Amino acid sequence: MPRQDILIEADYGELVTADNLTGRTVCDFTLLGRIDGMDNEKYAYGEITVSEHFGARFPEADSLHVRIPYTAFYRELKVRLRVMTSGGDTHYLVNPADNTSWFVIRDRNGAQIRLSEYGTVDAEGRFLLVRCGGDLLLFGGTDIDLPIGAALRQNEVFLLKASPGSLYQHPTTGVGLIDFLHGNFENTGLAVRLQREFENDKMVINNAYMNSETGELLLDVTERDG
Amino acid sequence: MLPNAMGKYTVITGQNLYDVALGIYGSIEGITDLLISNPQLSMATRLRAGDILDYSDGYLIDTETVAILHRDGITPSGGERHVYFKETSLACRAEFHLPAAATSAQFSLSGEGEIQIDWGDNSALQNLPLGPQPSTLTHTFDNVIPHSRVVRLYGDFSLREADFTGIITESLRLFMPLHVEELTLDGFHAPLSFLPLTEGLYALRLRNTKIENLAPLVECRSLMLLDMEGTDIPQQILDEWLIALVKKHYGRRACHIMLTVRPSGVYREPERDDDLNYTLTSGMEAVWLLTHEEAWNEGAPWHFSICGEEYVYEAIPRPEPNSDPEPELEPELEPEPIPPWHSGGMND
Repeated sequence: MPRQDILIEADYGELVTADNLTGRTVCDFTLLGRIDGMDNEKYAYGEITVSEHFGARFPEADSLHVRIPYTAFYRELKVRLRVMTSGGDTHYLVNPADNTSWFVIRDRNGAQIRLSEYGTVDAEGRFLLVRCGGDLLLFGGTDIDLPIGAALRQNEVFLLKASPGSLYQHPTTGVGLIDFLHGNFENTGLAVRLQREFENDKMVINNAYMNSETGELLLDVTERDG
Repeated sequence: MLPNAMGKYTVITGQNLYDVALGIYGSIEGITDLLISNPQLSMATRLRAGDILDYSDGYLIDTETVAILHRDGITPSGGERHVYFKETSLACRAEFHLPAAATSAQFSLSGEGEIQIDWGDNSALQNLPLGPQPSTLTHTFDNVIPHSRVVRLYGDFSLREADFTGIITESLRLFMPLHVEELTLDGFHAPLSFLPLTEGLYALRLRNTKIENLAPLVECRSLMLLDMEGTDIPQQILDEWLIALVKKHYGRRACHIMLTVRPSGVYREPERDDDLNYTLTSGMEAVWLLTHEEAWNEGAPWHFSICGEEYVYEAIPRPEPNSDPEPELEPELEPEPIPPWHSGGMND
């Protein structure tokens, strides 16, 4: 089995992150205009369309995912949850705290947060709303996970970049390619170093080529036991 | 060798405690001996080149590693790198999203307060105290990233002048109202959706760019100068915005607007509906109304510079009272309604 590891963007040295979308339904959000008879100076009003299934289990349901785009309104947001039934009927879920159809969205600590500030919670506008009493608490809606995958390519790159002394767990490991800048295979000992380091990491170099114009090192490497 | 004999180690550039421990003992676990031998040291100590540390002479953890490092002339000096992520307790005020290919950014800002800037790379947070004279700040990013870069401004500040011409941005977001009096966004290609959160904005320069949506500008009611010379705006968008200026005129200052795109229609008085309110059908009719409505030009006149032509407030002379006695109307006839000189009926 080819070697596997937590994936890293080898060119940038950054962890690859992935969102876990399994089993998640993201609801639609619509920003409403002024609502007559409501406090339009303090609140902006919106509507979230939820499934009939969500509406049926609403008393037990504690959270929902929604995408709310950046809007330059420095007002708190009140939303109502609109249920569209399979028969085409529409109704709004009732907030048990005040028997209205409106829910105030607050930050994760229950404090005031304005619509324009939502981007500080999730820059992509993906949110998780969690019911807390009669309010909905705002959390980032992205689950960060570290994917695991084939790691031969990233191992090659990191082995080339690492210099002896820079990996504290393996202090003598690393080709330290930067020491061979503008070098060649013939008289710098690079070929020997490459073979030794890759051999120690259970890899076999089938072919190595250095482009003298770009300085790029091209390696054809396979795993010894892969 | 005497027991408890102490050696002296001189730190070189770029070394941290782990590097020193690795070089002396062959393993970073030697850090405990360093901490014991140097009571002034802690894990938070930043070493500097030339610092001299004591260590237990002859105490090795990994002899082979020490021998290899010594043989190959390697002195570990991985150093300490600033690595994103950084945190501050100050409120995040603005966020710029830059394309990954951007290599640098430049601001010019003046005002009051202090800004803390997170450049979105591995550099430390930068403090910028604001003063009455604009400070120009240029930053070259110290890393390469695969996705767009986010530059954030934190702090409690207000801006007198802000020039973001030197920052190529895909989007700009304000998270809370920001006082900024003069804003220059020449060559700015991001949406203007942040503009409703600006406060006290009286001069906006949006030259040599392309704008797809002018609706956010309608909320900038304190504008007195709007320079959009060389800016490409679809005519329909321009017309809709000019008509919106009329319909939502309440609380708006008179403004000098410079355009190099001509609104549609003819510069003339608009038609009236049955209720004698104007019905605007083109952008130039909106310009006419803005430059003729007396109440809207009292403090300062509306002024449009459109493709080299000037349209400035001009009062319409009221007709001279007729010296001839008007024939008396027959009592059963309804008098013709006299339209008002200018109607505020357009104004929401």
